[in-house]
Amino acid sequence: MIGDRSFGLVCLEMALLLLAGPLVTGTIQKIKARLQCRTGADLLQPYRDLAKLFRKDSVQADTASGFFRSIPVLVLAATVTAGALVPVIRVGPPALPLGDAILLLGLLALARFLTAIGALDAGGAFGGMGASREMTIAPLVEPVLMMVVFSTAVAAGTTELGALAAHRGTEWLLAWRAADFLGFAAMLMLLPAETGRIPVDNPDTHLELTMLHEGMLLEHSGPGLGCMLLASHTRQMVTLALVSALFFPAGPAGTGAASLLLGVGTSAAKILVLAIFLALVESSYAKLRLFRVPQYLGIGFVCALVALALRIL
Amino acid sequence: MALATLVASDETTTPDADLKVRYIFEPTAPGAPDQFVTLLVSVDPARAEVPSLTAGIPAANWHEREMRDLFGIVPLGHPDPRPLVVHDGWPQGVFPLRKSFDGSRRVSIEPAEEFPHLAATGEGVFEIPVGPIHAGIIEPGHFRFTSVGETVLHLDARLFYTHRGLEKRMEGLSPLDAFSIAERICGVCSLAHGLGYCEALEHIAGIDVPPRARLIRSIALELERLYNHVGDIGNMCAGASFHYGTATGLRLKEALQQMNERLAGNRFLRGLVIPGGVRLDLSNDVARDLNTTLEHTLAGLDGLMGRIEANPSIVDRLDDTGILSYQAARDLAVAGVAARASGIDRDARRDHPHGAFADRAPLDFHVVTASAGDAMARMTVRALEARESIRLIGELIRRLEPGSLQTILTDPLPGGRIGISAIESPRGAAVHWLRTDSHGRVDRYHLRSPSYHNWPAVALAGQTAIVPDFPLVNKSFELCYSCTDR
Repeated sequence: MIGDRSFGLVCLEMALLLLAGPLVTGTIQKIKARLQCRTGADLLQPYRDLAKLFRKDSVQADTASGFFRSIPVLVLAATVTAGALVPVIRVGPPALPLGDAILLLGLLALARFLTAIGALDAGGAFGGMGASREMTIAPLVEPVLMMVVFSTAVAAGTTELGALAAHRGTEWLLAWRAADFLGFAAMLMLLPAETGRIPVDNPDTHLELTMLHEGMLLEHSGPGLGCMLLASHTRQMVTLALVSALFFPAGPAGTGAASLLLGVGTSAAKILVLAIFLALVESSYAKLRLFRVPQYLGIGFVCALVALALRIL
Repeated sequence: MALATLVASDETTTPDADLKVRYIFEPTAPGAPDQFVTLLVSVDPARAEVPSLTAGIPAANWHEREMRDLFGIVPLGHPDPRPLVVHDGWPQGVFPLRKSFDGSRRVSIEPAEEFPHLAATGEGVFEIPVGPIHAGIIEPGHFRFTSVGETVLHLDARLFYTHRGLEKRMEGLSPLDAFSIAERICGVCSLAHGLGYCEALEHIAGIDVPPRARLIRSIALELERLYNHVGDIGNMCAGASFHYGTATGLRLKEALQQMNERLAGNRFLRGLVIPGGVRLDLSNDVARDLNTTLEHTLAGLDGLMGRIEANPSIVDRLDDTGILSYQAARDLAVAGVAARASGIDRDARRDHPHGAFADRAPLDFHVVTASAGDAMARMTVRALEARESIRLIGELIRRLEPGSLQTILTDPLPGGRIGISAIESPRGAAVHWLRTDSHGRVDRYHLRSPSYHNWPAVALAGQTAIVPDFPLVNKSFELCYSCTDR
C-alpha cells in the first residue's frame, strides 16, 4: 500500500526512536527512584553510560568465535530497522513499501535470536543460562504479540502498521469494542516481558543467577556492550511505539512544520504515559518466580486469543 | 547436646607436650543450665590422628577439616578428604596453627590441580560456577551448582577466600591488645564479636563488669541486631527484586547506622565495648535521641512488613523457598535466625546469658520461633526479633542507673586459664574460646561464628530451590564470609 508518508519522514521517525530510546529508559529509572524515595540518577544518565562504553576498548572471551564481535552490530541493526516500520509522528502508509507488522515482529525476533546466539557463543555459564531462559519466554511472548497485532489487523484489513493506524485513527476510545479492550489488556501484560522488566525480568539486578536479558549481555564489553544496550533501549521504544500505533494512533494531519512538531509532542506524551505505567508496575511488584512466568503470560495469551476470535467470528 | 565448637590447640611447648582437641558441647533442652561440656583429647604430635565424629555428628564436618588443614591432625574416617581452609597450591605438610610455624613467613605456593568439586553427573547435567568474584559488592565465595535445567541437583560452596590468619595473629599478644583484632574479624558483627571476646577474657580475669556497663553492652548488642535485621529484610527484598522493600530496608538501616555513629562514634559500634566494661557512657541526650530513632524505625518496619505481607507477588517468592528442615537444622547445629525459623528454640541470650541478660532481675524477653523453615519464616522471625529488640532497648534504657563504666583489669592476666563465652550475635550464637599461656598472653583463640555452622545449611536449603531463587535463599540466611574465614 503506497501512502503519503515520505521516505524522509520515515527516516526521521526511525532516528527519533533510536535517539530518544535512552531518554525513555532514563525517565523510567527516574520515576522508579522517586517512587522508592531516592533522588535517582539524572535523566540523561543512559546517554552518559553509552558514551562511556563507546570510548572503551572491548575484551572478548578466548572461547568466543569471530562471529561474536559482529553480534552487537547485527542486533542493533535489526532493532533499528524494525523501528522504521512503526508510524510515530504521522499515521498512514509510507510513500514506498517497507514492510508490515509481521516483518517488524520478525526483526525483533531476529535480534533476540542473535543475542541468544552471542551469549551461547561466548561459552560462559551465565550467558547460556540467560539464553535458555530468554528462549523459554520468547515462544510465549511472540505468538501473543502476533495475535494482538492480527486482532487489530483483521478489522483494518491490512498488516501495514501505518495504514492500520490510519484506519483505527477514526475509531477513538469510546468506539472500542470488547476485542480492543482484550487486545490492549494482553499488550499491557506483554509490555514488561518484551522490555525485560519486572515482573518477568529485572534490568537493575547484579545477581547473575536471576538474570534473563542481562545474563546474555555479560560477555559483551566496550562498544559491543554499548550497541547491545542501545539496542535494548531502542527495542523498548519500538515496542512502546507499536502499542501506541495499535491502540492510540491519534496524530495530526497536515504537512507543515507545526503539525510535525505536534506529532512529535503527541507521540512523546503517549510514550511517557506507557513509561509511567512500566515504572509503576516495576515499583509495585516483585519479580515472578521463573516457573510462574508462563502462567502470567498465559493470561495474556487467553486475552489475545479471545480478542482475535471475537474479530473473526 | 549439640556440638558448640571444636578447638584444636598446639600445646607442645607446655609440660603436656601434646596437641589437644577439645570437643565442646552444649545442652539444647529448653531451660537447660548455662554450661558447656568439654571432651578433651590429647593427641601425640608424632601420630596426629583422631577418629572422625562427622558420620555421627554432621556439625563436626567443617571443624574436623579445618583441624586437618591448620594443625595437621587427621580425622580418621572423615568422608571428605578435600582441604577446607587452605586453598590450591598451599604446600603439603605446612600447618599454620602449629606453634612451629612462623606467621610472618611467606610460604611458597606450589602448582596445583583444579579443586575437585563435588558434582552430580548424568545426561543433561551441567555445572554453573559462580564466584568467587561477584557482580555486586559482596564478599568472595565460590558456589558450584550442578543442575538439570533450572533444578539444582547439588550445590558445593567453597569459602575461606578471606582467611586472614587472625587467630594466629592474636597468639602471643596481650589479651587486651588482641581485643582490637577480635573486634575487627567482621564488620557487621563487630560489636557481638568484641563483646564475646571481652566476656571470655573477663571469665579468665575473674572480674565482674559494673551493672551500668552491662546494660550499655546489651543496648549496643540489640542495636547491632536491629540494624542487621532491618537491613537483611531489605536485602531479601532485593533477592526477590522487590524494589520498594529494598529501598525501605536500606533507608531504615542507614538511619540506625547514623544513630550508631552518634552513640559510639562508629557506624559499626566499634570501640564502644572494651575489656572490663564500656568506653563511652550513654547520656540522657543520646538516650532520648535513641528513643526517637527507634520510634521511627518501628513505624517504618511495621509499614514495610505490612506492604510485604499484603503483596502476593513477594509472598509467593518467599513461601516454600529454600526450606531447611528441623532435622537438618539440628544435625548441622544451625544457629540464630535460621535455626529459630526451622523450629529450634535456641537463643544464647537466654541459654548462655550475657550482658544485662545475666542480671539478677531477668529481662522478660520472648524467643521468636517459626516452623516452616522457608525464606518467609526467616523474614518473619527477623521482623519479630527486630520489634522485640526495639522493646528490649527501651526496657534496658529505663533500667539504667548511675554507676561506673569499667572494672580495671590487671595486666598481665592470669596464665594458663581458659575462658569461653557464647554471644547471640545478629546471625546467631558465636562461641569464643580463649586460652592464656603461662605469661598471661593469648596462647590460642578460636571463634566459631554462627555463619560457620550455617553455611552448610545454605547449601542444603539451596538444593530445594531452583537456580534463579538461590540468591534469595542465600539472602534469607544472610551469612558472613569474614566471620567464617577469619
